[in-house]
Amino acid sequence: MIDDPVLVNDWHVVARSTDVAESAVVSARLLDEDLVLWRRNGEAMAWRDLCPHRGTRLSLGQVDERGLVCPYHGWTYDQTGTCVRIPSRPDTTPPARACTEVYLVRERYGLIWVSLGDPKQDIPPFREWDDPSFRHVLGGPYRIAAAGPRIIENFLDFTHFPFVHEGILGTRDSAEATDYEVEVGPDGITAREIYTWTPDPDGSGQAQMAKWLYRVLRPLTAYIELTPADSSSERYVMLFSVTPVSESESIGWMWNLMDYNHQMSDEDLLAYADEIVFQDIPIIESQRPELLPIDLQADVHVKPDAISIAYRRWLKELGLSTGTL
Amino acid sequence: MVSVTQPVCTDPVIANQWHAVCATDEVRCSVVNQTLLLDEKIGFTVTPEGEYMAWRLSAAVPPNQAVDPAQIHEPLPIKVEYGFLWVCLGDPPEHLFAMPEFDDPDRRNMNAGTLTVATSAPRAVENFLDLGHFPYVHEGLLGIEPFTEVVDYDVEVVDGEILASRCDFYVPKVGMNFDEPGMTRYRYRVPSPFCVMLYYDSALDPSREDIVGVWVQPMTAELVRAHNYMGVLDETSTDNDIKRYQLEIFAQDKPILENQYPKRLPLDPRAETPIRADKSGMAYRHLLSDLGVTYGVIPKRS
Repeated sequence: MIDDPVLVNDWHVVARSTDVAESAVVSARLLDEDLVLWRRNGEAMAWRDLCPHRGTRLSLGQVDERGLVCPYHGWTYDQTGTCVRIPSRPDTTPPARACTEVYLVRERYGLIWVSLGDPKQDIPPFREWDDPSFRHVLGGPYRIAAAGPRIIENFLDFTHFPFVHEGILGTRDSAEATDYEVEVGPDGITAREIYTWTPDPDGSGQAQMAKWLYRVLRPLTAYIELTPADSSSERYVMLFSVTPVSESESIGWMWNLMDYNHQMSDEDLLAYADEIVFQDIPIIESQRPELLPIDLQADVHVKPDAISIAYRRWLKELGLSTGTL
Repeated sequence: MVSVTQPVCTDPVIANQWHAVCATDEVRCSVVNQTLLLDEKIGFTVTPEGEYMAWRLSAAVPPNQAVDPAQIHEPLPIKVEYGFLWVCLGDPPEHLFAMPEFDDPDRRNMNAGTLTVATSAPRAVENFLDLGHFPYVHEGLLGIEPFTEVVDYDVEVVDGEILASRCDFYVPKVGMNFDEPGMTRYRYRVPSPFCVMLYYDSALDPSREDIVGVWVQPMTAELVRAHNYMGVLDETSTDNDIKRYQLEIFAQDKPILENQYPKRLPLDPRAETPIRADKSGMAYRHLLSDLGVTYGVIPKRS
């Protein structure tokens, strides 16, 4: 496991809830730790993917009426990770050491979140989730060969729109960025009143002056609210969370919630969001150094980078070491 | 002339062992056969007169390259025994372990196939010694629920070899010419650190035993080729059927072995969670520790 208390003691997405159906067994990786995910009686479990008997991956096993069964010798673990059955010694009580490393699991927003440590805060808020006027479309899992903070920084950056997302989120003749305010508080970073001329901000194909609000909720989770510049009646909000698989491999999950544009199909909205992310991925994967420099001397910054600067400063303050320089 | 080059492998116990590298019936004549042994590339061949040779290769050679006797400056010590070519990179013992049954006139001694497995040699040997996994990994062949119990059995070390006996287990199909499921009495033998053998009463003549041997060739500390030997009393099955049965079983072990963590065998008895059914595996870990083996293991902290 990567030894970074900030990330170890935080919540990370490891799968969609639907990926781990009743009695299913699935493997995942988080912070260099192999996990087995499984579900019984509706409850999702996330354990270290290792049978303590002979170092076998429990994710190759299956679920029976007693619990999760190791594929090698049939050792069976109940939902608390305690071995309740050793078939080669059916009449013996399993030794006390025969238990798995169990991690905290919560399911929210249709996703399975895991913490490998002792989380100091809840899963990031997403108020629009329960608002029935929004439709929900999940983008991802996006596998990205890059450090988590690089990916979040890209998500926060709007000055690349005219270049990386030309014709969708920006045009080169209106690349100049406006000034905006950045607030840093105990719950993260907020940047408001960012305006961009946007050829197609929501997949509808309607060009408009768009207004962006960014929030950094956790080191690897951020939020965008996108509305027309002159109204806030039409809202497209995104919750983007990056799973740090290892220091340089990540998985992005992006919820797209929209309360207008109802004639557009979910498939078309997903295709729209996917296209943008797939334009970002090669850029992010090309960045050097691979780890995000949080020493602000290291990169050249300009005024519109205020949110990036605040993000790097905040990570430094939190003491994040993984994925940063 | 014997090799004067020092082996790359810094574990003298393992470097000085005989290791099987190929079944003799698979050694191609007059061309360079190549493999990896203890992290070193080696070439071997057989002449039309039936003379075997092995030597270190400085680099991989193209397939089917003819043997150039001039390049063999330092032939490696070899043995041709039990249908396999054995090579030593260091200073070998005079004799390979004994298997007198090999000379039985009616025994079918077979090369039962070779499988590459991404694990350490000791993990592969320990898996072969293990009965408890039969109903799970070899379900329907070597074991079946609810017959999962491993009753107590005897383990002793005699002249440096591990011998496990009275290993009784309910087995659906012991071998090709076994038709009835039932309790089977196995004996196990670890005659050298990376060789392991299984004996059981023959279907044809219960006063004698069939033998299955696995000679584990350590290519690297975490990659092996497992050479399967079978010496059976069987007048009905074809060679192919016997070989296929053995390979089917080993192929079931492969994904289990390749997903074990760590790949190297931990020798500290507290490293994993042994139970009484693992007595032979624990004796094996103990023996490797006593011998001072470091290759393919995580040594006990002193």
